[in-house]
Amino acid sequence: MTDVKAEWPGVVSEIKISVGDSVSQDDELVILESMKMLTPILSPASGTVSELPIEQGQYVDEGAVLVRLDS
Amino acid sequence: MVWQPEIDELSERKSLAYQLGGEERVQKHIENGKLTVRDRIVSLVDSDSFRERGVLAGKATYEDGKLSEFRPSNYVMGIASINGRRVMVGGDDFTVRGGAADGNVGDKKTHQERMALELRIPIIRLVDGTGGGGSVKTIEDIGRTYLPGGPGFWETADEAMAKVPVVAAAMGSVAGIGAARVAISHFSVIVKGTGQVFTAGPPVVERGLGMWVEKEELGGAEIHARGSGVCDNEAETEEDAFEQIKQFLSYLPANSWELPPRSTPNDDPERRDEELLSIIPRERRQPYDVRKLASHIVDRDSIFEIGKYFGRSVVTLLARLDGYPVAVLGNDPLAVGGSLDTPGSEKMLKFIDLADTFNIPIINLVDQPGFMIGVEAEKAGVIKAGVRALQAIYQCDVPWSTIVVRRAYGVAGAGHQNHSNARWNYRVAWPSGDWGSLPIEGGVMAAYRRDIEASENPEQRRQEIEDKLNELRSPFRTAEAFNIEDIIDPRETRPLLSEWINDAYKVLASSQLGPKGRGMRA
Repeated sequence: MTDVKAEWPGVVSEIKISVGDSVSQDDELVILESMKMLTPILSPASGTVSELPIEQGQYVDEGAVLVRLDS
Repeated sequence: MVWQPEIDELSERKSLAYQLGGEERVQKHIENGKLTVRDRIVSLVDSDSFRERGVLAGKATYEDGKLSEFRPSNYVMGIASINGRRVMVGGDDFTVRGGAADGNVGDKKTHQERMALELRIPIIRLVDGTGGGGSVKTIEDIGRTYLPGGPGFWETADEAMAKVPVVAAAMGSVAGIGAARVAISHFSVIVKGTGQVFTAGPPVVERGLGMWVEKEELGGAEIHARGSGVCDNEAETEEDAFEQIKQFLSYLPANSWELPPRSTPNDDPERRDEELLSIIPRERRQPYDVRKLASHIVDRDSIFEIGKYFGRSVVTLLARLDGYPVAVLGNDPLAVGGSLDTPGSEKMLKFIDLADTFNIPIINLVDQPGFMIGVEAEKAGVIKAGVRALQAIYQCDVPWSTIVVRRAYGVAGAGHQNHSNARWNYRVAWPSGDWGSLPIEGGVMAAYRRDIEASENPEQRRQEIEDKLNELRSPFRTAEAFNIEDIIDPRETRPLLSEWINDAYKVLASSQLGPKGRGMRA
């Protein structure tokens, strides 16, 4: 299990995956908008998306879990 | 052959020293994935260049006036060369008393630092030792306790920070003064898996705080190269650490009186890379790869990155331009939107101080949206860390050039160079330049609130004002007012900076170099 967390606060601009998707390391999972910059959040490992505790347009704090991976 | 017996004894004593802590301990050390201290030194330096000093120091036992037992000092040091340049190198021997300071006979560590200062050559510390005054066992040996500190290491270490490059590698579990010897350096590297740095190790933490934590979780590479910034870089292996040390030193002069060494240029100073014309996206919210951008400007394959995983919104690269060492600062839009946060400010400060101490000209590739905002940033003291970074800029007096590649906003944006009337810095921008005290999108509501709120259609009114102001946003209007020296074709960046770096080194060559009023703090 790998938690992909927001390293800085921002708004979830786009979610590029769905629960059950297989992802490879460095795939774009989420686009987080912070400081007027659209930052891709990359997958730290290969695995399957098991949870997506976020919604598009939602504000997330630093440290919030964005994606949970079974890896 | 008058002195042959003594020469034989000398050989015998040396061979005892080379046995380190004995076969068993050495074997265990190697099984733990670590090289012995002399093998480390030999791997690091030019072949056959290590001239050891103090090999005879140790604790001897005599029977009937004859040497019966010998435990060598657990600090091995001497002079060597790296790429033909002289360095002072020393390391702890973990196989004797766990590298603890009580096994360091006659304070060879401070001797090494003093020697390097007198000879004005870099200091390399291969740290693999624990505890300051040694272990509590020292109390039993000397029959008393003692006040910590005293003459020796601190004043020499502090003086070294102003005068000669200091490099440290954390190559084992490093606590107390060992941790301090890693931290008080210009460049530090921690070996992943085998290197840990902490003020005190797990047993002391358990006793003092009532919690058990494994050493890797307490002070491994993840903590210090990716979290705290105590170590600048992490290394995959000991050999990787040695490569990084060699590379770091290749950009630096031997001391603060000298100019950084120019390499034979390997690249065309007039090279104009087409990629630079498209590297900045037209959509302002789209990030790009700042390292790639830098690589199109500096000499091919000349970049050595410091602190890649710490303070990530700021990128600090040592590189070469027409063969000359340069310190390249950049903002990374892929981390924290490129904004200046507390770790980024700390990293920027240290890098500027490093360049200033060793006369390395600075190139700043600016894309600064401003200081990081929000509760966490405030709690982390962003404005305090930020003004310290700005102070470093104003205190620094090496040649400086600024290329505004995109944003320069707010107080952090103002901190892209020293703007005082007493200085000229080369400053130009790309056509993607975008600047101000506050970005138009965020600033309109604050500045035109009454106007907008009084309107029948506030949203439409806000958009109208924004559109009107955006028409004035072109950097060419700023250049009309000569608020910036020039707007340049991005492809011209390398030729222009190559010309500048040649001028900058001429200026440095005719300047009075040497230590600044007070040395940099680690």
